[in-house]
Amino acid sequence: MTAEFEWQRISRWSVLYYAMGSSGKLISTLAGIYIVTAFTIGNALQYFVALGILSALLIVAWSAMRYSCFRYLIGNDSIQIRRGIFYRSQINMQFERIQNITLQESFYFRWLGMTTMHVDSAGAQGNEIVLPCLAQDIANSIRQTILSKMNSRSSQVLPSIDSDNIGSEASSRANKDLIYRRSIGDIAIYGLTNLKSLVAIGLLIGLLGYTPFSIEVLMDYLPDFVESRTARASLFSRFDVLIIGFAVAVSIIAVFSVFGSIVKYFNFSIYRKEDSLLIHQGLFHQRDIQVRKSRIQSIHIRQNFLEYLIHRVNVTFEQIHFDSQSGNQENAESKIFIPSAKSSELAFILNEYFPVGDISKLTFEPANIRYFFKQALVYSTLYFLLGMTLYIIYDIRTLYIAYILVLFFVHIFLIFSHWKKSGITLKNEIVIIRKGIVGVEYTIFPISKLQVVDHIQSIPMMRKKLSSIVFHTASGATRAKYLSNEHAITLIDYCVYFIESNANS
Amino acid sequence: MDFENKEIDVKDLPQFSRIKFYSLQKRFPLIRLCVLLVVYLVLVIVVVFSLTFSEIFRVSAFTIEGLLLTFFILLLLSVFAPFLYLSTKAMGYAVREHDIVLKSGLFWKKKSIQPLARIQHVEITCGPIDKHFGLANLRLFSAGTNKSSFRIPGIEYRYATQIKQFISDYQKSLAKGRNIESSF
Repeated sequence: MTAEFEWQRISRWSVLYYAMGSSGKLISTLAGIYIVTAFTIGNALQYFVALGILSALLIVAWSAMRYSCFRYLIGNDSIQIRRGIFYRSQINMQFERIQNITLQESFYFRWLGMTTMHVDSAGAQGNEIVLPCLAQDIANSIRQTILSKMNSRSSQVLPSIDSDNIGSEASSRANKDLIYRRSIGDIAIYGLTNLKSLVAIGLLIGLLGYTPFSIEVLMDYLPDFVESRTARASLFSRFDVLIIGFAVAVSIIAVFSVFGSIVKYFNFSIYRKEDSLLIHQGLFHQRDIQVRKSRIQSIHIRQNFLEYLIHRVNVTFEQIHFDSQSGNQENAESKIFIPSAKSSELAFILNEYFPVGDISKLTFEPANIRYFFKQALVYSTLYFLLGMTLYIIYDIRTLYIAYILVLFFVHIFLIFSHWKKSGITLKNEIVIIRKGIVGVEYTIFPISKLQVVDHIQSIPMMRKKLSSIVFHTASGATRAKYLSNEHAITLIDYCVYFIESNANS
Repeated sequence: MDFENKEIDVKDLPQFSRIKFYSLQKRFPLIRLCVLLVVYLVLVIVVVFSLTFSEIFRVSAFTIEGLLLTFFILLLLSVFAPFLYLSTKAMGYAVREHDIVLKSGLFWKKKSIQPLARIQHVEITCGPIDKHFGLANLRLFSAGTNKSSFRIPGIEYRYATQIKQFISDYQKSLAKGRNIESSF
């Protein structure tokens, strides 16, 4: 049993632990450099061997210093560590905040009966305390000490991790209520509407034919057709090159996109059980994801221009993301994604988590028009500089300046549309931020999930009594821009008051 | 059961805009500037060394492009140094009963409010220069991504430990409050 309230040292074998941690990177770096230089300088194996030996000695020395500077203490209500060679740091983690206690046995310590303890609080990498090379009985004793001193939540720490471990064992869907489903048609629609970036690429490929920089490239692929078309001076005679290029690119990509979506989201279903939701999806690789409702930090609703036309949205539930026992949990598994939901179904989906009703009918505090003016000024300057550069340096014909002007006015219109949609509101202690360009997008989170709130003003904004707010939850940050100062300050004060007055809940 | 639901006048809420901030330790902006100037000095030594011993460097440095590049780099560095000093001077912090507020920024002024109830753990770090001047960095970690991390540099070490203790005591009292509620 480790003595409490005394600073303890870890085992001397931790030098090996630290050295093994660094050696992987060293070997891969040296191997990479050797391969590259072998083709340029020539075979210099003896130098790399010498460099490797020197590096290994440095790593061992560094690891020994890390060991000598490391101390830990199991206090009455917290675990503390002191570490660092030149940059000394002291970390104090209250038992209350511990989410994970993991004992990891590396293969090279198994014969010694030693284990490494990872103590993790909610969220980020870097929030972890690592006690390497503890004897098994000491590690178990420390773990028991921590668990016995934690509050009633301690009983949920380890079991809840197993049940929330996304992508691990498939949970049974028996005895659960089916509340939502996506058909193959819905998933195929998602596959098509997800083309937005690829549509842009298709457009770009088509537009390439109209620039002097890549006429030769296109002529290699469509020599006769393009040569005959580009010989003409008329603007409208080039539209067929654009249309054909666009159609071919989009058609090919659409097939792959739809197929990929069906494979990933086949038989997408959401089941409800008590305070959890179970999501089932997948054609070849079936996944069952169980998520406790309390772990959902925010909901994002996205709608691109294609989805806007057919009244569909994509809904993403973001939750706290932290390292699993393997330490390699994929970022994608911190999000639950519902593809191509109908706009009419949105209220039903949202009310499972955050009861805000029909968000399209809420009144939003808009962003000030100066936000539009600022964006328009910035992009106008950029377009002007681009046009002048092309005209003066490359001697571009007036025709291309006309294209740039068309693009400029379209861009300004889109900025205007983006400004018109920007806004924020508060309902039932839930913050809703709206934005979007063609489609409307929402970010929704309860005030109780806030971690940090930022109030930001530039000097011009201060003069015009405007502010921006950045809300930080455990799943990320969201910004509300160019609000009136009075509204922003009141909202921040209320959010902070709400968090602090409900801290015990 | 006693139940109340009084209306809250938002004007009566504690207002973060009226907080009085403490500046960082007086010498800290100057210390930062000196560290930057030392880095500049090292760069100058490297450049002089290269000019002295490298023919290729010497030739390319005195072309028009080389001189233009040198001018822009010097301009950038000469603007960055006072900017760093002034932006460090503009930083401040305040500790309230239930949160800590950090003020920063020269052209984009930012105030970050970190409720104490949301802090996961506290870290105090000291580099060799910090240690020499009795300073420390106080880092507060909340749940989620590293973007939620809250950092107060250049405060006196004793204040950093006092704030850390204050946060620890606050969280203990929170934990006691939860235990009392859950026992009903």
